[in-house]
Amino acid sequence: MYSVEVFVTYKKSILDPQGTAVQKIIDQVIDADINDVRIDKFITFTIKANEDDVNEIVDSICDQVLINPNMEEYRYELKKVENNS
Amino acid sequence: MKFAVIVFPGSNCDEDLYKAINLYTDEDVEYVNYKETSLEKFDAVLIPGGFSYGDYLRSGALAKFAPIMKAIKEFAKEKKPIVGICNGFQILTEAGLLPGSLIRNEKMQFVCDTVDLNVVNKDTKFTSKYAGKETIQLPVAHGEGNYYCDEETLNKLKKNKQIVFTYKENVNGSVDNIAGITNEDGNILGMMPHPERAMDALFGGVDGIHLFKSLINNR
Repeated sequence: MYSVEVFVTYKKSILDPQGTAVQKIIDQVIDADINDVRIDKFITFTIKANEDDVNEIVDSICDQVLINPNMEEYRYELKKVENNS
Repeated sequence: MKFAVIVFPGSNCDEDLYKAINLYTDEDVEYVNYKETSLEKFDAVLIPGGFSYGDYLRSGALAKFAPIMKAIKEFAKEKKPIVGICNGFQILTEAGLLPGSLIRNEKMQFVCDTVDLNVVNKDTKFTSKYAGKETIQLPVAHGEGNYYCDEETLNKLKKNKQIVFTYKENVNGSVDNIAGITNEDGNILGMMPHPERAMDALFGGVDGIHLFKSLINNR
């Protein structure tokens, strides 16, 4: 069994208004030189699959359900975990 | 003419859309639940506004997998008319039936207002009855109405005259102020403003009537 952590981000070419709004507030609250605040998505799940298949399956899940390829990109990390079921 | 108003879990503008047809035209209209799999008896499909599936993941992201979507895609392939309003527009872009995407409003505010729109293309089956009208007024109510597409897609939209409505002033950051578009074949319209909320002077405007009358006239 694997635990999967998926990071979904807007493509760099897309303005992230949420990130911009949050950056404005951070600037008000904390004295620090920060830039490029982006608010992304973090999606986790576990999956039972073979080592040979797991990447292909996770890519399908990301491409078909988790992201809108028109404006989002993804990357993920896999970790083998104990199957306690 | 028989209209279908699709109802997803979380759709909340279905009743207004139903009544727009039922009370303000002589045509038939029925609600179609998202679990249905056939649209055989219908001549036009209307996808209403609201928050289908709670807008979870992304607006329209989960609705595109609903059972009824297969029939809607077949309907689209048969070049029959489909109108997606607000969340309906979002669902159509997510389903790949219209190009581009709707993302968070530029200023992060939910916009609830009556706005001026340019009717950019009056040669569509949805806008022929707007002949002689350059500017109309329709209500908008959305948090994710910011239309985004890349430059290649924008050029295609312009070349094929697919841009139907634009905001007179920037409302939500949409590229080129796009408020509504059709697909290349011209049988599918997606728009963020609500024509079904402008059917009666009592509501503050009647500019929505011509859209439905165009559709009926051009059946």
